[in-house]
Amino acid sequence: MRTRDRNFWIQTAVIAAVIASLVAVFAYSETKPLKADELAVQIADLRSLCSSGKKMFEQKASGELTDAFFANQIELMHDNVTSLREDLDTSNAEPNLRNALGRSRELAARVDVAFYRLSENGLSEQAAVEAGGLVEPLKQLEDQLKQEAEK
Amino acid sequence: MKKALEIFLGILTAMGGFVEIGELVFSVDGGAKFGYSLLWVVIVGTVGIMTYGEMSGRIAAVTSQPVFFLIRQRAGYAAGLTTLLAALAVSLLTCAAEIGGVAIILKLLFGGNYFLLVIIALVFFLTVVWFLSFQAIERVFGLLGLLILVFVAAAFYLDNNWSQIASGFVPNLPAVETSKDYLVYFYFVVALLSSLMLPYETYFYAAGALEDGWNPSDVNLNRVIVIIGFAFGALLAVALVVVGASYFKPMLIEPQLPGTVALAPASVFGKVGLILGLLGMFFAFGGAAIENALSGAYNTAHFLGWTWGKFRPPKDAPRFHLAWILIFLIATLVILTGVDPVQVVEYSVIFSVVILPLTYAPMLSVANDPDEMGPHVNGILAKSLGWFYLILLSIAAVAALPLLVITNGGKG
Repeated sequence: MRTRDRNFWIQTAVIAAVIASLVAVFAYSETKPLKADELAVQIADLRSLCSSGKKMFEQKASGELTDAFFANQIELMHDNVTSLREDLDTSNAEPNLRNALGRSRELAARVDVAFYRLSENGLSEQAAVEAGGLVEPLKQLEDQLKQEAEK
Repeated sequence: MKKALEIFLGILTAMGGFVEIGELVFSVDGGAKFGYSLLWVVIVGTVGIMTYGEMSGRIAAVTSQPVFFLIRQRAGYAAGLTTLLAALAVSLLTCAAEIGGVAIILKLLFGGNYFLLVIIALVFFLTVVWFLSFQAIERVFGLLGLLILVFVAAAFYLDNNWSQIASGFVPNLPAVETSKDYLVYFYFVVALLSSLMLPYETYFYAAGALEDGWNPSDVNLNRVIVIIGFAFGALLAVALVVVGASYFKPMLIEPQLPGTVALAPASVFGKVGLILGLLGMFFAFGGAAIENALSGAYNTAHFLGWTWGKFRPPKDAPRFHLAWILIFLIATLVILTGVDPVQVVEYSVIFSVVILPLTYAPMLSVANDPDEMGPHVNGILAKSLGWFYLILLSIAAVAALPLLVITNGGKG
């Protein structure tokens, strides 16, 4: 085999191995049980969305936002919340995090409901209060998970 | 008088074109996570892009040669091709993210189906680039992108804690909750540095100098535009970090959507602030989408020796015009798969830092070469800064991907 041909096959094999490794890493990361820090990331996203939802309601009530902006921004945020909730519902967690995962799912479901109500009726103060009220429990759970991850 | 107007418009255009969706997200999110601690990175990144922006414009003015021609000449065909492919991938991803960002802004302004708005954005960009001249595109998007200055005004109203803001300009480590947060902080340092020094900015700037027919007499014009324009642009980036730190951080909001960022000017100026912020983002993202598509076409044409130029009608440079159309089409297809534009830009910003040394090393080599540059060769300051940033970016390039993985994309 000529040197040029051999180099070609070596380069092809290396590229194929790199691609196969990336696919394997991706597949593993999608199916492996969640660790505490990974769960904390999802809870942090939910906490941030809840706080944004509450703030938007306040700004809408004081006439700082247009109707189109409010409705469409809430819709985009609701899509993110739904995606996070579905991720949590279908994920596994490490055995010591089962309770935390259960609590995460429960809180995510409540956030989803609050955003659904806000997207249906932007003047729903009850939904805004519900979203705002979830910021603190989500923050507590996030901090607890971060401490767990530090151990 | 004409020269003064050219300098003035050039400065405003450089300033208005400074911010794009990646910088917006990383600056505000970074401020919301780490307060003022990242402000020093804005200064480091701005001096870096000034250094290499000035160098790329000077090389274009003196040698009349485009960046990728010189990369191929200096680095050789294989290394040059690798750089070209990497640069194309980054331009494509960034263009995709900007198109998605524009569609989101249209949705927030007028409502409608997101995917339909992505198609409308594509048609808008194809029409604009097809019919407008290079100078008109640069000026319209650069100048209207200045609407984003509403964030500077908002930052001024929201925060007058000047001593704390000033302390952020000194490199520091923030107070964090866990040891992993330090890694997240370093991820943001790398990402913010990369978003300020995105490679397409120098490609596009140098290509623009050639489109405008610069010659060695424009070296000083180049210097003034880059230094003043980018310095004012940095003011925008500083304002975005301050808005994140003073407005979003106390409320535990880490903005991931462009619309969330617009809440800050709305809180100060009401609906007018909201609309100005959204329109500023529209033109800033739109300008960046066009610059990335054209950069991809310029780079490919320069590397492969095609006839190129926006000033040439499509029949005279068919492959160049086909290239930017294809980049827009592929970028739109990426966004139509439903990926989140903000996530796309986060990846493109991190991958950008990996190719930055590959782009800047040949540029520095040319600018240091007295045979090529004659009396306009790098002086001691440009040479020292060039080497400093090349080393800094090489370190950042090595750290970027591990930090991306370890920190879950900067989330913790």
